[in-house]
Amino acid sequence: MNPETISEAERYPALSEHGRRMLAFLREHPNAPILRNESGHHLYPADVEQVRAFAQEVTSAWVSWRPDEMPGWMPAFVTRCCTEVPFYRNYGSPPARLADLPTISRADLSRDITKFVPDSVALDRLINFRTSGTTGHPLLLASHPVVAASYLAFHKRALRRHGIELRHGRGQVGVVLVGYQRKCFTYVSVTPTMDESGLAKVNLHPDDWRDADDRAKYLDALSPEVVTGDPISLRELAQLPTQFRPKAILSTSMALTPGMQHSLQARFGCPVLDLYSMNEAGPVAVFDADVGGHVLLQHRLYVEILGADGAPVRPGTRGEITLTGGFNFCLPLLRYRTGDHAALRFDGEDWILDRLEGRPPVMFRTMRNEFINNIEITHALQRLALPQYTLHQRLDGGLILRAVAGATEREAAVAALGALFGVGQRIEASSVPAFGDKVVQYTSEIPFPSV
Amino acid sequence: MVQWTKAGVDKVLGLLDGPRGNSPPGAVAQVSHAPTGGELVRTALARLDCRPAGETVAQAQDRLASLSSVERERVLRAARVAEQRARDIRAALAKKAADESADKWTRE
Repeated sequence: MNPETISEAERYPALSEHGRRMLAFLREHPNAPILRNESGHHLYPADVEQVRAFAQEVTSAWVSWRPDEMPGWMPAFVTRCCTEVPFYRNYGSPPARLADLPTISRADLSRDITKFVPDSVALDRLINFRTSGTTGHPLLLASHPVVAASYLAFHKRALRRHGIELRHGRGQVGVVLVGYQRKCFTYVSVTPTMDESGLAKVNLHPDDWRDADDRAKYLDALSPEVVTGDPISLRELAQLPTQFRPKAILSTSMALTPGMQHSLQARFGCPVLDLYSMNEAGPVAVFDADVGGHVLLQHRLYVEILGADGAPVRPGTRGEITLTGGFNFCLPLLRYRTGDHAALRFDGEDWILDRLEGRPPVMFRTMRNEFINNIEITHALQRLALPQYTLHQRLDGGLILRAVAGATEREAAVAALGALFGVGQRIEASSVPAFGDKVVQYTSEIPFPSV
Repeated sequence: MVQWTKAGVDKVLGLLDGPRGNSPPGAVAQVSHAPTGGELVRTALARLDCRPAGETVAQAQDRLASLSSVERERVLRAARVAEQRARDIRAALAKKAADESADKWTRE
């Protein structure tokens, strides 16, 4: 379906008159950015009810299994996976113990995502989330508008832990998502489960605004209840002369350092939540300083910690976070190794990930002395036939590109990087036959300036 | 009655291993999924120069051939259906990038 041919009725089914006015407000405000894309929640009334029912379930559920216990839902979930999902069907009959099932990785998903979609999923409303990641293997993940809308249930659960209830509804803006890249998707929408409160995804890069000063004016006019972003875009937001005070800020995508968190809290006068969240499974955990770690959020997502040998580690030992379950019915996970590492403990009430190492921010410095992030590099290189590559920036600014590529593709990559980084950029490029399964795609020795 | 020689046991084990490099996850898995396991049993008996009780050699050979072709057609049909499903999923995913098709409150 060509995005330009999707009607407003398909983007916003059952859009009310006040929802329409909110969209007009967001689009036509005199300080509005250049909105380059269209989105829409794509939720029909029955979907909205399904999302609301799920949110109610999440509100009253507990991550309830105890140490040495399996969740009650596990056996039926594993059986369903081994029956309905082509990839897991190859395992044969499910074994008695979860630990006897093979694990899967990002590489398995990237090789053929179609094998992980259950036979029972209707395809007419399937959507994809594209993730580039810092650990290699660009990934296309199957999802659904109901799944996307269900993230909010876990965001609210995370906020509730910090004493925050969301109230914005009709005529108000519920959330602004801030990005900061040369190019990113920008659009406006409404959230039907919040009485069509406004949603705006904006890019704080000045190129997406008629006047750079419009950024602060627009955000003040919207006065969103929640701001979400990553440490890079939130740092840029903090430098704008905005006056509005959100009720909370959610940080995702990359690790949020304590220093950055405290700076943002001081700047905006509100809690700043570090969410451990991923496209494969949604919001997994939220940092809670009172317990000193990331508290698990999903009652139907079982977390194991595996050692380098693939076996579960002793409680409290650090290892690879491995997921089973999830609320994305288009992508049920069976022992999915995330590539992230932590220790797991139970404190009597909550399961907590200690010493979580997710994806650190990776910033690169251009010849114009600007900072760009790894996603912009992915965009610059994505049209090239590069199955896999790594990029490293030295302290002196020189770039080292290693790629599974022939000479032609490698030279094209060098040219693309040269155009992105600017005249005079030094780039050393080499071809390699292959990388290992776990490769860190982007690394940089350049320190990222703090707020 | 079969006399279990080492050669006979090796033949059975060879059947269960399957062809190297492209075997499905064990012939044992096939037996557990097949409605009757009839083809595997008849194939094993034939390789051991045996046949089911009450059948002549000709009858056993005819029934094995018939079952093999039915089973082969079933497997081919299932593979075609699975490949079509995979193509349909790829096409559906290619059409709808999530940024244009759904609103999450965060970007991961």
